Formats: sequence, C-alpha cells, structure tokens
Amino acid sequence: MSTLSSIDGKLGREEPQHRKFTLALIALRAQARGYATKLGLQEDKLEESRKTLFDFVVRLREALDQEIPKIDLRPLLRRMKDGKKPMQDWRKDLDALIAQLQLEEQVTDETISVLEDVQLLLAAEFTHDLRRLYYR
Amino acid sequence: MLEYIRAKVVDYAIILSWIEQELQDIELRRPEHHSLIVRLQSELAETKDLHNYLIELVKADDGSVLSLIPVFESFIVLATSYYLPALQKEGEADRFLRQLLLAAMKQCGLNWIEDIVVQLDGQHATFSRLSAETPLILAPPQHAVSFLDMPGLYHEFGHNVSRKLPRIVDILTVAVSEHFADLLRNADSLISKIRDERNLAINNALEYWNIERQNELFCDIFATFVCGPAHYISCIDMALRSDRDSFHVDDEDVHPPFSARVYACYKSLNLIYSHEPIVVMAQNAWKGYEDMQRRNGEFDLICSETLLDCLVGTAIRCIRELLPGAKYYSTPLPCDEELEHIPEEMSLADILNRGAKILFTYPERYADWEKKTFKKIKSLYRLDLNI
Repeated sequence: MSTLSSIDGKLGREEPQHRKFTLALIALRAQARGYATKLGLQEDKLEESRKTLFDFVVRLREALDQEIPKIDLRPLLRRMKDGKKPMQDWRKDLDALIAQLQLEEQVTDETISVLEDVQLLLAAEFTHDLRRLYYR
Repeated sequence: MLEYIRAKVVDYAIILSWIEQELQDIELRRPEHHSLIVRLQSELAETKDLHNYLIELVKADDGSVLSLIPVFESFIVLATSYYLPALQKEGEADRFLRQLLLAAMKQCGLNWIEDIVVQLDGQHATFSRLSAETPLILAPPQHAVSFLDMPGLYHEFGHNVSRKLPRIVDILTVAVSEHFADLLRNADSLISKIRDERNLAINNALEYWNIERQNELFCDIFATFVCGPAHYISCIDMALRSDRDSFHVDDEDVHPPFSARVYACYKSLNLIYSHEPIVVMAQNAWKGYEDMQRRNGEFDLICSETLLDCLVGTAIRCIRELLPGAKYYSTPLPCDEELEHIPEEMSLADILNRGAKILFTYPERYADWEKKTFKKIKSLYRLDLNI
C-alpha cells in the first residue's frame, strides 16, 4: 500500500494555493517596503495580489466559525488549533486583516505580520507533504 | 539569510539548466514521450520565470523570500526524483507495460490520457500532479512477467481520475458531511454530557474522512467498477497479506481500515457476480478473517455500513455521470476449457479476471497459463522483450 499517490494528489491541490499566496504576499510586502517598482510590479499586479490574499483570508475566517468547515481548509484549521496562538486571537487578527485589505491604502507592517503567520501555516502543511516525497 | 538565497540562486540555475538539457536529450531518444516532455518543459519554463524573479528579489535585498524555496523544490523533486529517472531508465519491460496500461486506461474511459511513463521499481503509485494527461506510474518489477497483483493498477487509475475530475471529491465530501450532520442532529436529543461526548466523536469521525481517505476509498470503488472480481479479490489478498486488525482505525494511515475497503469493493461489484464461485470463495475467506478480529465502536461510527453504502452509491453515480466511457465490468467468467482461452481482442481486465479464476480454481494450471498469455499479449504489442 503506497502512500505516494495520495501525497502527490495532496501536493497537487496545495501547491497552486501555496504558490499564489506566497507570491501575493511577497508583492504586498515589496509595496509596503517601497521596492515594488524595482521588481517590476505594476499597480494591477499589486491589486491582484491584494485580492488573492483578501479572498483567502475571508474563506479562512468564515471556516473558523463553521460547524463543518470546507474540507480543503481543515488541515490548516487543525494547525491553527494545535498552535500556540489562541483561536480568539486568530479571529481578531483575521477580522482586522480583512478590514485593512479592503482599504485602498498601502498595508501596514502589522498586516504583513499576520499574513506571514497565515503563510507559515500554508507552508508548514505543504512542506510537510513535500518532505514525505523526498529528503534525507 | 540573503547569503543562503544567493547560493540557492546559483544552485537552481545549474539544476534547471541540467533538467532542460536532459529533457531535450530524452525527447530525441523517445519521441513517443513528446506530450509528456512538453508538459515538463512548460513547468520548467514557469520555474525559470520564478528563478528570474528570485534574482530580482535578492537584488532588492529581500531576505524573507525563503518562503519561495519550497515552490522550487516542488518542481525539482518531481522532475529529478520521479519523472527524469523513469524516462532515463525506461527499459523494454517498462515500455511493454506502458503500452498495456495505455490501452487499459482508454478502456476505462480515461480519454484524456496523452502519454504515460512507467517505472517498474517496486510499489504501485501514480503521479498526476504534473498533469492528469501525462501521469507517471510506478509498479512492482514482477509485472514484467506476471499478472499477480496487477488489479492494484486500476486503483492507481482511480487516483488519476480524481485528479482530472476534482468534482468527484466535492460530491463525496458533501455526502460525508451530510451523513455526519445527520448524526449530529440526532445527538441533539441526548442529555447534555452524553451529547457532548457523542458530538466530539462525530466531529472526529468527520475529520477522519479527509480528502485523501475519501480518495483512497473512491479508488477502490473505481477499480472494482472497471475491473470487477479481480480487483475485489486483489483487495482481500492485500488485506490478508498485511495481517493487521482490519477494523483498526489508524489516524496515521491515509487508507481506511481494510474492513471498510473490502466492504466497499464488494458493494461496488456488479450484481451478476453475487454467485460467482471465486467471489463467494474470497468473501468466505474474508469473513473467516474478520471473525478473528474484534469490531470496535470507533470503526462502527467512522466506517458504518450506512456511510459506506452511501459513498459507494455516490461514487458509482459520479463515475457514470462524469466518466461515461468507464464501463461497469460485467463480463461473465467462463468455466473450464474456455477459461484458459485468450482471444486477441481481450482487455487487460478480462485477462486479470480469468487469471484470478484459474489461480483460485485450478492453481496447478496457472503458471503455464500466465506464461502463454504473456507471450501472446507481448506478440500483440509486437515486442520481443526476452524476459
């Protein structure tokens, strides 16, 4: 009974989300720190990145209060519940994040920091599965 | 951290360039893999764009781009640990099985398949992440000369189906969620303390049925749907070989317990096989084994017959609606002399079913029959493999 097919399928579902979120976060961070132009990131690309992050964070926030959360978010929720940060703090931070991402203004360092926490959760799940395919 | 990223920029430039060269060389040697090579080249091109972006990020002194490294690793691992070794080392036996499986996949309605690469290296697995159209299939080396355990490959086809048709996962997820939501509603009438415990158990059961476990069960159902009794018997054989508690719910195992898998396979069989002697014999052997185990409350909640029946019914409806080319295996298994006869137009599923019947009814005849049949299908594919 091999688990390889299953891991490959899971990575196939996680990879696009992980890649999209990571690149969008890099773009918004570059904007916040003033080097977006150096990277060739135009306004439309930055807007698209903001929308990517907003859509994902909204889905995640909704899942926190659902009796039966969306199945693709369950591994992430499990990591949140197992983590050190209390769930109530997550709710508060994600609410603030959603409000900030809705504004036209440049995101703050605080916003970036919460987005980085979410990215770490996504990366933890993704790299955990990747390690099962390779690594000494 | 920037120093590390600068080093990785150079590291990735070398590895990506090597992959590019290897793909060009392989395409020259194996033009039949053109579609697969094109898919790998397209993924490589995207990774190279990302590499250029990484260079710009390093120039901007952004040391926090470590988060991009797993994105590179994902492609590099897939290419260098899986696809490239399979393509580089593809031998005659791999090519023979490739042809056999390409035909079998078409017969199962997987019309999207453009190319596959097979590597006979020890375990059944499918990689469809690059694209469902060009999967890599791993299989045990004895498949070069033997049909034994080959029905397991139909389970692997199931993984490819669920990659191509993610809607199946969505539909199964709804079925699982509704089942446990019903149980939660029913628990409402219990007194507070018992209700809380019951709700916790139900929520754990719901969490148990993640996408991966639903997929594994779907693959069993799909494999039995298209390959019939041979797959059912093969599943029992796998369970008996593993000799583990078939009711044990293992949170670490991506596969559901064997009692659930075997039950789902049986329920997926076409009804015409209810009285087929080898099915009855396998079922009796399985019942005897199960009788030696102890059912437990956790299994009864997580893998109840109500849930499994619902999943089998839902999965079969999905196969019929979303995969109309997949035929419900319903070829009657002949007896005696006719059983050993292999007409040229026979499918791999037919061969495996006849093989299973010969092995369990006339075991002394199986080895000769298998040898003759292999010779025949190899000549059909015009391959002189000397194996």
